[in-house]
Amino acid sequence: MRVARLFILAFAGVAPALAAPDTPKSVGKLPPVETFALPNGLQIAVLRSDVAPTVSVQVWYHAGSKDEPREHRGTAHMFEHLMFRGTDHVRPDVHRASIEALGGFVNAATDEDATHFSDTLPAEYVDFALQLEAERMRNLKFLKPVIDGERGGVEAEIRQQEAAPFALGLMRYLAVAYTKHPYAWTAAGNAKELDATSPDDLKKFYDIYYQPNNALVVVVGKVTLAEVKASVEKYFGPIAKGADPPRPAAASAEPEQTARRHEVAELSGVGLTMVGWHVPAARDKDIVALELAQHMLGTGEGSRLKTRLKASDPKTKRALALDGGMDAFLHEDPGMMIAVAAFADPAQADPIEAAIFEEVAVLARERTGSRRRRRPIMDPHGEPGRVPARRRRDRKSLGRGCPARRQALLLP
Amino acid sequence: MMRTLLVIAVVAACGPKSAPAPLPMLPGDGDTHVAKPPPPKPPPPVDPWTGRELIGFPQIKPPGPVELPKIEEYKLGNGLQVYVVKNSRLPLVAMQLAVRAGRMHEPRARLGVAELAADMLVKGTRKRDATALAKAIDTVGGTIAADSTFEATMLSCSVMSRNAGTCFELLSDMVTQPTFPDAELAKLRDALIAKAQQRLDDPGTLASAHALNLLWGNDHVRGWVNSEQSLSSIRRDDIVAWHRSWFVPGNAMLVITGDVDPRALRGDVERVFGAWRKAPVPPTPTYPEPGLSGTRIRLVDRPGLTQTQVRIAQFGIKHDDARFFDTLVWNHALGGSGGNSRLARALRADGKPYVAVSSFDRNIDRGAFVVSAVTRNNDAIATTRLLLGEIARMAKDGPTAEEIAAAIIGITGGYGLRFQSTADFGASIVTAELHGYGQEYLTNFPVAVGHVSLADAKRAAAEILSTKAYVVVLLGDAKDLEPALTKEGWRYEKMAFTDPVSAPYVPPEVPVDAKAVASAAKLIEDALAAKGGKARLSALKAFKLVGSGMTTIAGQSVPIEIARIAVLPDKMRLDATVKPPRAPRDIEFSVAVTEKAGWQRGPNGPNGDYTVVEMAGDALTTAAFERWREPELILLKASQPGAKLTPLADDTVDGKPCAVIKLRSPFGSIDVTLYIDKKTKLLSRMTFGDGGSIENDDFSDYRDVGGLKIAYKRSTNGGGRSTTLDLKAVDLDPKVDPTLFDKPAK
Repeated sequence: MRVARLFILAFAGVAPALAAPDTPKSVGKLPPVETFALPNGLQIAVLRSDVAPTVSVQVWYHAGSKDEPREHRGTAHMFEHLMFRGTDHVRPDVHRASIEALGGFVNAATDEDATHFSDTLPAEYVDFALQLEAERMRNLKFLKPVIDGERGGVEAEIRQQEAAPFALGLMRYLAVAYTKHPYAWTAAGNAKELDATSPDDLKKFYDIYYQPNNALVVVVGKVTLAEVKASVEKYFGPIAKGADPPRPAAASAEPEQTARRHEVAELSGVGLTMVGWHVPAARDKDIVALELAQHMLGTGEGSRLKTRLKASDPKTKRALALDGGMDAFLHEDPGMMIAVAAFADPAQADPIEAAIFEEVAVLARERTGSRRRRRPIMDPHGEPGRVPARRRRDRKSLGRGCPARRQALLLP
Repeated sequence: MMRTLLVIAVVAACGPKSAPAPLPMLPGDGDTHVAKPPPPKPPPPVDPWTGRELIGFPQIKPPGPVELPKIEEYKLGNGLQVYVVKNSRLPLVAMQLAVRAGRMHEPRARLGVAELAADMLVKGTRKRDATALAKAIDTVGGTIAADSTFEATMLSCSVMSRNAGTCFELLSDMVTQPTFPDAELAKLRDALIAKAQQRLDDPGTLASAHALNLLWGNDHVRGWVNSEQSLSSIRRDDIVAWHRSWFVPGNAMLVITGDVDPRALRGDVERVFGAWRKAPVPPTPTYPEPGLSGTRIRLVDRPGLTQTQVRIAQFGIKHDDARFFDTLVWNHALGGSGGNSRLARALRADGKPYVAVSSFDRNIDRGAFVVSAVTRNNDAIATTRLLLGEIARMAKDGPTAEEIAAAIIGITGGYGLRFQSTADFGASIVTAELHGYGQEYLTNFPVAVGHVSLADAKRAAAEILSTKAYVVVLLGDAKDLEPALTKEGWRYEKMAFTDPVSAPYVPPEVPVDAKAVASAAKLIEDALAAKGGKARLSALKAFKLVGSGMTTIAGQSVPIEIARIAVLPDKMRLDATVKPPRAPRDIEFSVAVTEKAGWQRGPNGPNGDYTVVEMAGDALTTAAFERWREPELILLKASQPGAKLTPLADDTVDGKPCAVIKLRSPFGSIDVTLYIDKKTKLLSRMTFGDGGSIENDDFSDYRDVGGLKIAYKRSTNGGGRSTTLDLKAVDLDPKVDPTLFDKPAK
């Protein structure tokens, strides 16, 4: 189990997301996704694949850390664990043990916008997996000893995260970058606040968000639409529709950043520089162009930023940074694109920061036909070598607001 | 009420200690030794699920064959075996190139060469350097990787099918024309050395390595574990030689899966890989299997650990053993199915909150069967006993019919997961074909598992599991474990966690015969003559060498200047100036030794202060050894009457053949090994081992100075550091200020 660090979700309004707007012409044939909905609001997407005799059943709940009560951070994460620990008709851990006994495996992850659960197993048992998933959608038990045990597990994960320099740096970074929006914290949660979270608090969250009209069931594998439909109707059909869940983050929109924020923090471990920019929500039409920019700048050994940061200086024979790159934190609400570099020598911090700004500026300035543009681009929806069409917006997006910057410096 | 009592109890615990009882208690006084009535049992917790209708396990279907697309198979003229599987669901293609060159093929003197060579394959070819390779694959959004296992090196490449040509080109480039650039080698070797060192911080990995070493011994490839010593001895020419002998088409297979047209593809395969030059496949090294009678226990002491790693290992089976499927089944029941397995259940039933698993190698030759667990220190012996008991029970009674049924469901159900992605399918073909199994094996695997009967599984468990011949490794804090082991009467060998796992490699000594010693002496004579002659060297009274280069400090490469002054016979001084870029000032180090004393001077704290320390004990011995092994004079030491010389097997330094001679030093177990270039007769390398690590000094660019040949290029490797130096000035018999050797005040 893990807390997803990076996840792109166009969740609200599942159907339009599944319909994939602007289907690009150059993508090779992709198998079709078949979708349907139940009267209780549950959305279902089925992708048939007969490559292997297996099926993956996933249930996505539109409930992430941004939906948590501010004083109980980690609530969403608790469900990633609790959902395996007993329901009205399944004893604790039997869900997992049954899937494993069939040769399959289960997993779950929480991020800022959603929590999802998956069961991967031989395809002939798809009905069983759907039955187990429907059971825990509404029948979870809230037993104090079980909750106390799982809280310990979640808190251990939080401590583990806090022990990793990168995660620690990112947490501090987000707290500076977001002043109002709940993306200021990560999905892992806060141990102290979880201690003060009661079974009743958890039950309340469950009753609000773990409802068919707030969930998406995804089935991929060697199955037919008819058999999935039959099982889904049988098990999920009788569940009553819930109330529309509130979205607390809607009242906490992040105000536009008007000045550069810069903070130097002495943490521990290796030195880290993080420089990031606010970007639009994952569903924004500019996101593809931005992802392309992120890819060119900071994904893969050959990307510009990585090359620049890791190139050996001919004089000193040293590289600016030990490693670096750029990550996109794209969410339902406006996210961030963050350049990261790790270094051992604190004297490198300033030149690294300068290099990051410079590479971003070069990209924003470039015009069609400039020397680097000619590099063919692996656009997931485009043709190699094609220049992204929305360069102006791309530049605007990158330049919008001011960068929030954080350095976590550290010497042993 | 409860709360009040608790508060009182806490207050009482925090209050002053009560005064001792005025009279000593005797047995029979009070109730200390009186049998108490059993405390009332707490009511059993209410099971919230009692009486409920629970969701039951689904109806199980018998395992059948897996429907797989057809595998097309052909062999190129150069011997390369090719497998192609068409699967057009997604516009992707995955290629895997497996070469039978893994850890099992490594020479003992170069453990780690398979992994290092694999890592180096993506670091440069004749057409592309490391960056160009990365860019070539990045620009098509693909991935490329190389890795090595016990049996093979695997190169893999995945791209969208329209870019299949990129994969062809890069894979063939990497496998046939790698350049193994030195600069990349140094980085990757350091990374592997760091990994070997990290093993010390990972109790689980270290315990497993010890278990295999204890089981297979130091004369079998399965017992060898790479180390800083073995890794730092790997040079570029070793990797080139490794690649040249094993990376031949007849020793490799290419598997292509995905959205391809097999017929059209054949032309591309022939064109790209047909050019790979045919060469004979070397025989796979074989080692006699060690026997094992009785049990052996090794305690690996890691002070401070609160948990103990337990490993129980014995010999397993080969993949082609007729009992392979039976073994899959009984092992699934014993410890191969996580929390449901017998070992885990037995630990739980005993109230031990630990996990235990069992596994066995699936290799072409016989591997090991290993049980692993982690326990608290005070529970380690009891846990080991419990695990041994479960192994014995499985050997005696075998699995139950229910366990067999569960194992068949679990193994066959999990089998299908191997074919989920295009690359997974390719990997499954490689794994099967490496052992000579084809499509039928892959398709009917579940059927074969389903046929395992109770009698088969019982017989296999009884035959394979030994209750007498096995090894046990306990890795934990000896302070906690030794009393328990002694109490138990278990005999054990003890090692420190820092000790090398497998015995360090010692080059085989050519049997000492007078003729060999004479030839070694002759080699030294020739080397002395090449150096400028014994008379000229003996006449030297002093010298000064000044050079500059780079060295590693705290993992960083920094510029360094060094001056080395010797006044014979016994005075020596070394001054080093390190110039860290951006640092406010240079850092100086000095060391000086005279006949019986020595001192060193170095920075103390960040303020630019220096301290001078008088050398004593080990430091003085180390300095004396350094003086003894002075490279300019070592040949004189080797030519002295009584010098103990042992000729070793020839080797190469940077591709040049060298004669190798070991020279016994007067410093206990430390010897130096001299590599003398067969052509020039000049000293190319000098090494010495110190415990687990080994230091190498390499010499090249010899120039004539005052009748002596002096190496102007020098490099030192070892202990995670490397230094390269270019000499700038060489002064023979200079005037040396005698006060240079006096200890300075600050």
